[in-house]
Amino acid sequence: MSNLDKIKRKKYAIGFFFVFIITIIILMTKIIPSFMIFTQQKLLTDRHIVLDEISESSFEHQLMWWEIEDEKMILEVKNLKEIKSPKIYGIVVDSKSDEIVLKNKEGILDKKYFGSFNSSVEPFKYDIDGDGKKETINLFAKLDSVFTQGMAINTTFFEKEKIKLEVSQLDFHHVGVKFNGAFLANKEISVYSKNGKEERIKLDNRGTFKVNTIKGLTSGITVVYSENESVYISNYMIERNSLFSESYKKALYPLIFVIAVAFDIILLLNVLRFNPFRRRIVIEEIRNIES
Amino acid sequence: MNRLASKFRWFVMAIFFVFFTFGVHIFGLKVPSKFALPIFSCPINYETSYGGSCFTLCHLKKWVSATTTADIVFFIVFTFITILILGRLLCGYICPVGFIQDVLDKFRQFLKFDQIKFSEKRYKILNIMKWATIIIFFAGGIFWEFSFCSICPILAISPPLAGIKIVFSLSIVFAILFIVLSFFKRRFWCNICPIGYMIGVFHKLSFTSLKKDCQACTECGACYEACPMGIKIILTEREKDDVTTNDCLMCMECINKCPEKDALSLAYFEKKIYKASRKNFFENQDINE
Repeated sequence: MSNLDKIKRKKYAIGFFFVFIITIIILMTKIIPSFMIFTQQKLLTDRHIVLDEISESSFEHQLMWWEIEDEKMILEVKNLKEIKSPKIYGIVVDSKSDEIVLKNKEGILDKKYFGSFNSSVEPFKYDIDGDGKKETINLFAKLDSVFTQGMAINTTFFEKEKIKLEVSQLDFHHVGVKFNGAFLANKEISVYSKNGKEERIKLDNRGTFKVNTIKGLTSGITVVYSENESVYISNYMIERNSLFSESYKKALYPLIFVIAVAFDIILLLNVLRFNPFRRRIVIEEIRNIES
Repeated sequence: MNRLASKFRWFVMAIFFVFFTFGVHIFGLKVPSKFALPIFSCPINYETSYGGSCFTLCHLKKWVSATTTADIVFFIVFTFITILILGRLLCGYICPVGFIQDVLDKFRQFLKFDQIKFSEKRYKILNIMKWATIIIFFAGGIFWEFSFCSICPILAISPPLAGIKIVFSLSIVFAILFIVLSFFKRRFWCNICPIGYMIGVFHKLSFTSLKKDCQACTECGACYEACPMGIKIILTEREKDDVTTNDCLMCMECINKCPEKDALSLAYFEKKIYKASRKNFFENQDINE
């Protein structure tokens, strides 16, 4: 073995050793604990629901809506005396929904949840349009987290008893509106953007309306439908990903794992390719040929 | 010119990689749909600004049942026109997976690790792998209701970069293999890529072509050595001037490594836009290789 080979071998051996040690440390301390539980439901357990009362809203129909701050899913409720404490439901893995009980305005999630949440309050009388006459308000807010919408669209619907007016993204371009468990075909609804811009939309015969982009849905929309002196208000939001957030860092773990393992294998293969084992095989082959 | 052409390719590839991966964060939300390019660009992220058509093509049955005839016709026409205009330049310049592989190859050169030389026998094995991938990719979505995404190595690379949380699946194992193999063999995935094969079928009809001046060629074999797809006909062809093949990625490595003036050239609409030259050859000699 020449000196050059010795140096090369030593260099690769040291390099491999360091990368191996660093990988082991990273895997043991940071990634494996997260990675081993890297399932959709388990990731939800890192999150919690927070109920927040707020005095200001962008427009009169914005009474209850969702916000997301890293691992906190905040249900914002306008602090009107008519609005009683909301009930929060989450779709569980077998597609039915279950109530999430709040303690000190915080709800802890467990593995059984799927990633789709809904909140509703008891119907109440309130003059929402300022005409001096109180209407019966049915208030709902639904959140589809990245766990239902991020990988591919998993359209979720709650039981009609839990949410009377329900909005769901059906595909990349269609949003469906259900009322009392049936699609609201050929009816007129009002859709408000997050900043309160109103648009009157007539639903098609399937009870859907078209969206060109889902930008509005990721900020949150409010759908208003009126029937028999009752006003049904449903806020709908899809969680969006943002770079450099806590959530984004967690998303990178599997990729870091893949790169770390891949480069360990690369170094190992390279050591095997350059080291004396391979050279010995070649020398033996040459000897065999010569003999 | 050569250096500039190479830099231009890297620049275009980097721009498209950033666009396909982080486009939504830069340009805002635009849902991938009708205009998806026939490349591997994981559109499983609903927030992509623009996408590849791989997702549609590997879920053909579901897609056809949920899409209107007009949209299907639009998709087919748009895909065909894209292939007609760009051919496999899509693979060489636009596909983000190609960019990742080229970065891995550059990294290997930087570390001064030897690449694995592929013999014709090994390329034959790759050919068998390619057919297996094509069958799983297309037939899986049509007959077996099997999603190629669950084993796609790109699923464990692109979506996490875009901030999408992925769950454990075989794609993580295949992603490790993808990185290892692409590190040692340049453009390994392109050799077995089902979308690449689909583009390749129509590539000869496209406006891009690889031309050879058989008189100028000295059969030195540098083009065969340089080709990441192991295309031999560029070396062996002695009559025809068009040496475009289905597998050619239009990466121009053969032109870069060709020592003979005008022996090989890239043509667009039959007009030679990039030619081999002695100067380019000497400029392009890489001491790491």
